[in-house]
Amino acid sequence: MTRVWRRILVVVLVVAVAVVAAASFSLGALAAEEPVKLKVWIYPLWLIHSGPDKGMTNEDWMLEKIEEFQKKYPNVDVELELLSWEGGGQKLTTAVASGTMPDIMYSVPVRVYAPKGVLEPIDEYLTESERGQYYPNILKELVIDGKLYALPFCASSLVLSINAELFEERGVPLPKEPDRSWTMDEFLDAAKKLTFDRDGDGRTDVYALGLNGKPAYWAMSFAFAFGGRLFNEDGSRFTFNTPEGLEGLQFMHDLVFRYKVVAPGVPGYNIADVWDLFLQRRIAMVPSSSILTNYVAGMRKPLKLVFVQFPHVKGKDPVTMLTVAGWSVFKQKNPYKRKVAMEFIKYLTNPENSKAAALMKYGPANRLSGNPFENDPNLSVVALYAKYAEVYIKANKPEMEEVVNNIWSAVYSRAMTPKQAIEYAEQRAKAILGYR
Amino acid sequence: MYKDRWGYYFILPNVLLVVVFTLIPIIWSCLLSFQEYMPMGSKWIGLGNYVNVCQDLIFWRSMKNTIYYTVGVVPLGLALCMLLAVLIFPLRKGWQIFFKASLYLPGVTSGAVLALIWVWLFNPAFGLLNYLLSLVGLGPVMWLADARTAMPSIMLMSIVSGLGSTVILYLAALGGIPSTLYEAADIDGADAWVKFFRITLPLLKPTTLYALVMNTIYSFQVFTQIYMMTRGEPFYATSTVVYRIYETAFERLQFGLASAQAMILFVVIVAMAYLQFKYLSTDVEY
Repeated sequence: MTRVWRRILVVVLVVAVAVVAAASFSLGALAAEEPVKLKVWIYPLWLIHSGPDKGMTNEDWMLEKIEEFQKKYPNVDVELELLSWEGGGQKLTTAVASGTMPDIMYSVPVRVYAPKGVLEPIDEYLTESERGQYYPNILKELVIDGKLYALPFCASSLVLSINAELFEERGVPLPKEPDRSWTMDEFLDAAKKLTFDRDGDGRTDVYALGLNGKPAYWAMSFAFAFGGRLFNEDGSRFTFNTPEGLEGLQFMHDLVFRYKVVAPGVPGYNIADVWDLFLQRRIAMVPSSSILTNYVAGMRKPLKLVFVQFPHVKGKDPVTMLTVAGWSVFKQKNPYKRKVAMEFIKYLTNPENSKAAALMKYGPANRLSGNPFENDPNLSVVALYAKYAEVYIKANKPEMEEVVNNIWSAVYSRAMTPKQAIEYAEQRAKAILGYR
Repeated sequence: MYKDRWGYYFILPNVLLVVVFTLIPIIWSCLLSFQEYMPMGSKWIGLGNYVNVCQDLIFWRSMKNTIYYTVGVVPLGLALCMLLAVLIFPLRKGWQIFFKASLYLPGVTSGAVLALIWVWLFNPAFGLLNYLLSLVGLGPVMWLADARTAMPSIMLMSIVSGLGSTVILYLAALGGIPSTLYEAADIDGADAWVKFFRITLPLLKPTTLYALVMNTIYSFQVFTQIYMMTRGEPFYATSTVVYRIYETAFERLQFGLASAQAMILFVVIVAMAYLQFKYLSTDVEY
């Protein structure tokens, strides 16, 4: 071999070694990506009451998903913490105040936390096709100032839950199939018959309807059915001070004080109290989400639960409120950690994993997950009814929540007439939202 | 002082606890009251939060409710405690222990549990109180659901559940009154009323002052009952200052504003305690 060929061989070998070394180095860098620890907070969402998975909770489901995610990202360590519904909100507030927030959390009140700048906007991490997997009204619920602050996991609409046994006992027909809709007049007739003294001791044993004090949105569909709405499209003005708004509020006032078909003591109840009375068979109808199915399934002797639509005014569409919950990412300094956190919530909400929302009896927010309730006549009504679902409050100021709740609170406690309550709310809305 | 240094070492843990968990939070809260709090960085706004508190009608309504609650609960509670103590004191030791334990029991029960029980007692449709009233042809009373009866209902619950510790204080104080004073009064022919008003009541004054000041402070800080039973409803009828502070801080994340509200409450409580000490304190020796 000549000297020239020997030199060429040396150069080729050196280049080959350099290429192999560079390739190994970059592969090594990918495999040994920096370790990341994600702190994830969740609430108790479901407990399976029967079947082969009896006793399984969403915590078990999460642990499974974490393990799957870690196969793709072995450098990610996920620390899962289960909160309680009673203390979770307070824990989050304290954590935000002290700067010890989780990295990821389910069901963060985005309307409160996004304006404080503690949540990461998700938009830039979503492709157009990923965004297209959600209905616009579902995303709208989680958008503040044009930015998306949670990736939707489940969605549902509120319904009127009925104890069909009490309807049968009083000979009251249920709303007609297939959509179980009924008019205000039909509802009122039924309500009068369903408020009764069973043992003849002069005291009412069963009331037709249960309503709660705060928050008011559970039963707002009754008032909205008359056409009034709280805010304009962009949430900049209070628009409930109209004849339709007043008519709706007056109707609710009359249900409580004129027709006396509502269990007395409305301002003193929260929604859990009202559901308790329903489960004790003391109330025939309550506004609820489809999650009430799980409560009934947990009863020793389950009552006959039927979901129906909120009554509508003749000639108008029924109205219901949309409920959406999703996953949020808190502010991250480290861009890689932020990216991983986004990847994790995208993984939890992909079409396959979103199907788990059905375990809470909620619909998956991801439209590619399909309808898991096709064979359940009760939950199918919820899905059917979802087309009427509206976003609840459109004003982005958290203070408006209190103003809205107070309209109903003032009426239920007779502190104000419906007209006075609406006018007072408008006055405060002008001060908070800053218009004349 | 150097000679006594061991004494200071022994009190050091408690002093540290007070500094870390009381003094520093108070100073921090005071500083926060001049800032607009944002989790990612606050800014100084001078007296802005105090101006907002002064203009917040709901805060002042809550202050009025708190004063109403305090005026209702403290004097009535003290009178009831004194009466119970005077009735229990002459009993035999066994009965005394029984009544002391019975009255103190709610004091060792969680406030949240008590509140939940009372919520069901007060239930207008299915509660025990309205059932009892119906037996004598009265009611139904809306209790917590009516703006007029909501606060008195909470006051009733607070009085009934909060008797224990003050009764025990009074019983201890009654035990400290020399029996010779009563014997002398007997010789002078004084009846029970005279003995109570001329001996017992004046000699219980230091205990009454202590109980008055402490119960006033506790009453100004009423929160658990409101949080668990009404959340300030109906229509602010039971909203109290501490509950308003909680709402401002923990529901709306306005920690600066909430701190300003807390500082105002602090000033009011200090002023109340000062007035009580100034006008009620006397040196009683026996």
